Amino acid sequence: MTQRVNEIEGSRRPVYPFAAIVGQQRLKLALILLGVDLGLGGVLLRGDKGTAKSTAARGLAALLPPLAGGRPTPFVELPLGATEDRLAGGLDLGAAVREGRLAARRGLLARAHEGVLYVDEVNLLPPHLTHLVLDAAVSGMARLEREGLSLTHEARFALVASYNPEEGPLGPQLADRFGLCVGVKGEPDPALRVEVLRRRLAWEADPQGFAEAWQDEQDALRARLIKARERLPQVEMAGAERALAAALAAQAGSQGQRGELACARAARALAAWQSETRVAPEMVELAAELALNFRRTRSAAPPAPLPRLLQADDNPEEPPTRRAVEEDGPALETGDQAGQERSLRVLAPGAVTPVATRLPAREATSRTQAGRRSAREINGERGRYIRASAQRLGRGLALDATFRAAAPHQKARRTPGGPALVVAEPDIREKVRAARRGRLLLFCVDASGSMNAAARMNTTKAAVLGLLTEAYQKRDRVGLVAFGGAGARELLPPTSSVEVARRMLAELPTGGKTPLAAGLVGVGAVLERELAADPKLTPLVIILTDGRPNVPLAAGQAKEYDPRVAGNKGGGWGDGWGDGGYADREVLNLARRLHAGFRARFVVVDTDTGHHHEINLCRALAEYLGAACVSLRRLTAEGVLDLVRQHWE
Amino acid sequence: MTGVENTYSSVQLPFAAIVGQEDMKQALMVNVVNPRVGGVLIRGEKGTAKSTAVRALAELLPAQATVGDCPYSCDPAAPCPACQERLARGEELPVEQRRVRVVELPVGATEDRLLGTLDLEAALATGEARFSPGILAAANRQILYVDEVNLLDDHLVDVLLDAAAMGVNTVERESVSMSHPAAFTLVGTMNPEEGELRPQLTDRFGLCVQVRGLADPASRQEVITRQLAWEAGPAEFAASWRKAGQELSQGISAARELLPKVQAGDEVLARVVAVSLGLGTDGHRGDLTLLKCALTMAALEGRDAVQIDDVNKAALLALPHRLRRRPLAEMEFDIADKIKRI
Repeated sequence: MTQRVNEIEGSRRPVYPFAAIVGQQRLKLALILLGVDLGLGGVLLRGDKGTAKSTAARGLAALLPPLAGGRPTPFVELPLGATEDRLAGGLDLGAAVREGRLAARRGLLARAHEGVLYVDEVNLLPPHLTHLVLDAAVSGMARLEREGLSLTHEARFALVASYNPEEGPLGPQLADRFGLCVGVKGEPDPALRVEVLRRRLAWEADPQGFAEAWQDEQDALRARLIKARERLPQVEMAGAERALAAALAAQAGSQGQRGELACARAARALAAWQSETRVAPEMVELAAELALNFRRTRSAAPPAPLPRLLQADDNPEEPPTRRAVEEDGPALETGDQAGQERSLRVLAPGAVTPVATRLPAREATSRTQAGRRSAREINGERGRYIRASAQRLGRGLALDATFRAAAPHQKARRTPGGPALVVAEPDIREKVRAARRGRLLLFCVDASGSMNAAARMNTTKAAVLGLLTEAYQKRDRVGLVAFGGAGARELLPPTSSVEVARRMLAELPTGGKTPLAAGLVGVGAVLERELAADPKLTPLVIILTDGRPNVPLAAGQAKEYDPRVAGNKGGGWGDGWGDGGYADREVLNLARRLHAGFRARFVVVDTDTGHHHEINLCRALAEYLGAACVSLRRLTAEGVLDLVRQHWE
Repeated sequence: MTGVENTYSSVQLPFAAIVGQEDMKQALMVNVVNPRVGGVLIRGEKGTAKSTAVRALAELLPAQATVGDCPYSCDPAAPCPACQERLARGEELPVEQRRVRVVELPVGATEDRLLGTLDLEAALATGEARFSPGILAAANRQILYVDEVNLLDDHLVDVLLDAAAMGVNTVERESVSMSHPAAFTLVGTMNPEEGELRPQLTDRFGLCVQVRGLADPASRQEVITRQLAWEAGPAEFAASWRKAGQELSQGISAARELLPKVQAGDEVLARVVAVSLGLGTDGHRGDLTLLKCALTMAALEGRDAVQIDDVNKAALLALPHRLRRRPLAEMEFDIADKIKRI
């Protein structure tokens, strides 16, 4: 077993000297301040690939004063595949088996004591591990409560975490727990960039020689850091400066008190670093850049979540509540079908048994689960092993945890000449895994010959390509069903490839009438297929239409949704949506089936330009789908993307 | 440690016999000459000789001094921690000349297989938590080949990224706590139609090339001719290409020797930065890779000084995957004109 101390490569290769890092003033300052005051709560580095983030973190470790007894400062890197027991510590298996003794093994947190704990790609770390790390960083202690052990190790370390926003965001509640945050960018100045290249090349060619050449500067930095640490307790921060920190935090709209506290603490560390014993106002301002900028709440308030028009209906026969509809009821274009309609009304409800439908019956629980789901799925067969559980669900055997559970009993169980390790039934532990799960977004677009059709199709295409290009959604798939003319077509089967999407959507047919019902059937077909392949999926379906259906389904297809069949008459007419035409009622019946039958979420986008105050079917459709109805005055790809983001997470 | 590596030494279609696809062949050769270039990502449609080329590379790979019984095939001149301990105990390390291998990571591999895991046998027999090395251990100082790298599970990609970035595999799981060297040349192939690769992983590949089906009929015909000849008699076919293969091998050996002596002047460094900034690349990793690639290309041509043109050519391999993409644009590979204008 190797102790990972400073010599990262396990060889004698030295670390790239901190003093030799070109530019990146903010980054270096933040790390230095953390070095002066380990209690700052960690530094978060967010930025481009290949911008010296990890080089700087490693460099900081080499800069920190050596530990008592001349041991080099530990630099512990937290690998993404780490399990909880390795992080927090756990039972020493060897000691338990050989000696039947309960002994604890220090985890990575304790090993980082007085050194640097570096977490690269912290946004990819399972959240429960991130919280463990942050707890230790703030409290200076690693607590261990497991397997009959209860121990506390000292764990005061400089926490440096980095992530690339392209790889996915870091949740605001996690980001907020860091003391300071620095955005890191590549050096734009060509001269400095050549210098970066020159030094890097020199270092790779001869690390030892390079490190020696920078030795004096490194020593000077280290000496200054040690002095600053000594001075820190004497640094005073007067009332005016404290007030300034508070005012800046309020101005930034930072929530809670962590912002101003981090700002004040950083300002004191800065004073100590600058050989002062009093905090000056400009120090507070500089500290605020590091401590407050990332806590700034967005200038625009986040859009209020759109309410679900329809509650999860336990009794699907009950008409949905009517809301926000003009008093005179929907004016429908299909006046020519009025006669037909009257005849429909005389059918008594319940007289005919509902016809079997292709759409599967709703599972009892699916609706409640269909709300916001995280992209993480626990208990799957695939994914990263995150912890062990004593609960027996037939998952994979967690050998390590099983052995640890068995270990304390070995002395009692062992028989002469028998196996070294005797595992009994109650020792069995299973692996709990977590995997990121891709999502499915399905567009259903009205391609009929109305004025907006071309704009709608092009906007949707741009949105599809935009979504697929967005790096952090790589595992997500997007599909498109278009309806126009006589029917619906799956123009793009769900894919995660920009290339495929661009090719399949090269031509966008528009024109003809508006077979909205056919579009919904098309959506149902895609959902059925996709959910059969992955039942845990919760697809998001976005329907863009003017809401003026005028083509019913073809005779053979229509039976199941035919409003003349009593069991199908969506909402029993008492739903406040008036007497809709045949095509309208058919659409609403279909909508209700989709809502009840699939674990999916829907959003209806009303693309009606809305100059005339006619009421279209969008709101009714949304109600029956249990969806939000959104009106986009100006249809832009960005608008659609925003909508998706808002409803997706 | 069984079944860890797949080596391709027997009857592959010879590397020299692959028709066209000069960018891909060049990128692979550059990596063989200089592993520090950092691997290559080969993007392209089905049936464009991607896998064939990578597997055929095995025959061109040079030999390197290796500690014979080290699970990490470490370098006797810079031994791994375990071998350092052996030296400290006064043991002598058995040194062998061993060819670089192509170690394949199957897409369905589990995390345990990739990282290594608790040695079950040792744990049961002696109660000791011992490490059983995985694919990353086998890949140290070798070529790690991931076919369909875009289909690799996310958590495996994370682990792979970690190791590729550090050249070290750190295992902190299942009662095992250790790290071992895992400095490999990462070679990945993918078909973009089956989904994109995460930008972080893309960036870890030193070079990136796009392969396309051959357009001109004469070349296509040549492919058929050679393929048929190879299928009819692989051994005879390989024999007829042996000389061409040996010439390639010798070229590689000569370039490896020359490489440490190749110089890059100030105007070359300035050009590297200008091209990189002009094309708008992220971060600094591109600059360094571009320079290393240019140095290696000069060595492959038997020159001991980099020319501006080497930089221009190297940029075609080192930068396409590092350009900031406009939101709806495709990855650009035809950047030669842009480079000329800088």
